[in-house]
Amino acid sequence: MTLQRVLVVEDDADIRKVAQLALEAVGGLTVRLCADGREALAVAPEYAPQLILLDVMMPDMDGIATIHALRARPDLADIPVIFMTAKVQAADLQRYVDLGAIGTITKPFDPMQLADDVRRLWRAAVAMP
Amino acid sequence: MNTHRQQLAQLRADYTAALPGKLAATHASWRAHLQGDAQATETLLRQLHTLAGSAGSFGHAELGTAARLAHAMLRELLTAADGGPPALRQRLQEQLDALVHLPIALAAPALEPLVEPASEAPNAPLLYLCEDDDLLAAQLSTQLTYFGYRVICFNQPDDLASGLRHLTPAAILMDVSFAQGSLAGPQGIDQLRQQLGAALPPVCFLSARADFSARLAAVRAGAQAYFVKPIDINALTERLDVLTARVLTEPYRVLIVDDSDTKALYHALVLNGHDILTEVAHAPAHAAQSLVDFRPDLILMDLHMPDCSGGELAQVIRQQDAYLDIPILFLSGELDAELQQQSRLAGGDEFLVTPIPEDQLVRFVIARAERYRSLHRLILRDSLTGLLNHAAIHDALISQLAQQERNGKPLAVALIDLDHFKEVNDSHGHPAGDQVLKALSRLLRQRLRRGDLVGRYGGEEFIVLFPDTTAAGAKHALDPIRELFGQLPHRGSQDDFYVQFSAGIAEFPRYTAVEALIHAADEALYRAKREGRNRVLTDPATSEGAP
Repeated sequence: MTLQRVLVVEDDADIRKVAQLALEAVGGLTVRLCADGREALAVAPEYAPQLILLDVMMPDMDGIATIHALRARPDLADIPVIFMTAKVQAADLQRYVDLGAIGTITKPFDPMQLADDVRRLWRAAVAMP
Repeated sequence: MNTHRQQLAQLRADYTAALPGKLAATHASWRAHLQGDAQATETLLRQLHTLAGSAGSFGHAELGTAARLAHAMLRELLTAADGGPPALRQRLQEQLDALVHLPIALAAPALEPLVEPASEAPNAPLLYLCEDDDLLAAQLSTQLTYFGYRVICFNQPDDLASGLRHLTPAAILMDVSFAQGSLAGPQGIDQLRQQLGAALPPVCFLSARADFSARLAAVRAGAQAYFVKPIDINALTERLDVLTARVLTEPYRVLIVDDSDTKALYHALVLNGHDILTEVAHAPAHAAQSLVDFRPDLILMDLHMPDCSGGELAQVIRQQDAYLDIPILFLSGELDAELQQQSRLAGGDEFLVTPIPEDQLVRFVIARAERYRSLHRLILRDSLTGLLNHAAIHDALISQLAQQERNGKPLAVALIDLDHFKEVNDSHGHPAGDQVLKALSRLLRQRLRRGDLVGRYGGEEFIVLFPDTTAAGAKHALDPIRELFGQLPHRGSQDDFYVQFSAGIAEFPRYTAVEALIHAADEALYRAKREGRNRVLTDPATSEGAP
């Protein structure tokens, strides 16, 4: 099974654009963009992503609240989540893992590298029982 | 396969274009925050966080780092009891000021093949910058790339030493104080000099210290220059240009007069291989036209030709005042000393016996052409900027037009005028104004092609001739330069200031007469000023894209 459909949740328009370019044009993935957690919860059931790239710092409903909401829904709870964040302290990384994320991508990311990193994290998570 | 790189480049360009606005908004939030506006504080935090998380993806890594630093400092101040230490508040103020003024490295999409960006030129000198202040290193290296340098940054002397083992730069910029010691810079250079001796490139020290012992340490370390922070980028690049022996002159031009096609071609090729432009006249009569059109720095002439001898041609040439001193080098297999002497008397400067070793020919030519140029410098060049003066560029335009008439290619003429320059002189003094003029001159010469002619047309007016280029192509070349120049800080009486320019471009063959061409460019310039300045307009208004 290969990674194909990704949902990106990010409030900054510039980062959405470059993430889409990085994942679609460079990485050959199919990408759907959302600007906040609420939109993600509305879109995910029908789009059925194999992976959610979730920004941590968002106004209103941040990444933490969003992942809680996803886990609360039986139809969405099993979708792997990767956090995107500019904060990179060890305590935070552990916290994200404890919340159930399969990994973290630090911002700013290299657009030429993002798809590779995302695939790598997804493969590692999916291969594990 | 390349299209996603192009798309990325486009995204970067869009992001970069929006950046000044974002930075201005950030600064506005900062000012409101200082007034006690809590909402603005939240906004500021978000703006800094966003910059920190995105700028790097669009090619602005230093900006992102600077924003991250500012964000961290602000958080600390907000969480500290009683507002935090004044030193931190001061540092944050400086950081945010620097953020807004950080010259934005333009990650521009590739320019059209007509223009070679200076930083991609094979002779863009490499500099090693050893500086432990990351923000300053980022600022300096960005500004230096505007002037056509490549910069590699190191954090401390040991790293610099390793770097020197791999590549030799044209010059080294070295901080004086490091964490290891307040004179670690000069000490590091001392050690390197002991290891490398004369192979060590020229070293300029950059230091916050202006005291005697620091300067003395620098002298003992063999420093070529010492700059006190905050660094005046104009002064630094002027010095570096000299130290790295940047060639900012136009290539030498040699007129070859020889009835033998093979010989003429051979000599032309030899000279072309050393970046010397050549034109060949097969008959003496054609030489006269070439003199006017090609404006050579030197004439290489066969002594024996069917219609008239080289000696006679030299005399004909010397009849005209304008060519009294143009160097004439005779080429001949003639070994007769008497004949050689006669030729010299006839107006030749040098007699070269063929076959002549290539390097000898080149050396003679360069030496003579250089001397001719130096002598004529005073007549041809503006003393402040080193650019061609009004009269010289006017003459150049006449002959350039004649040439384009013959080869059927377009010629674009741009008139550049500094915006609000009178205010610069009024607020900061004439010396500061002169620095601005010199900075623009250097930037133009470094960012344009070698074949483009740059002249100082008036007090604050410059003119550029772009051979084989349309108005649209010239605009394409000038716009990035305009943006770059607008971001260069100039040292003022109180603080740094910035200057922009407007430009108007007209093209031949739309206009065929010199006056009409200049007038049209001037009209376009006037329109640019009227429409708000800081822009490049063409006549007539052409769409972006195909030249």
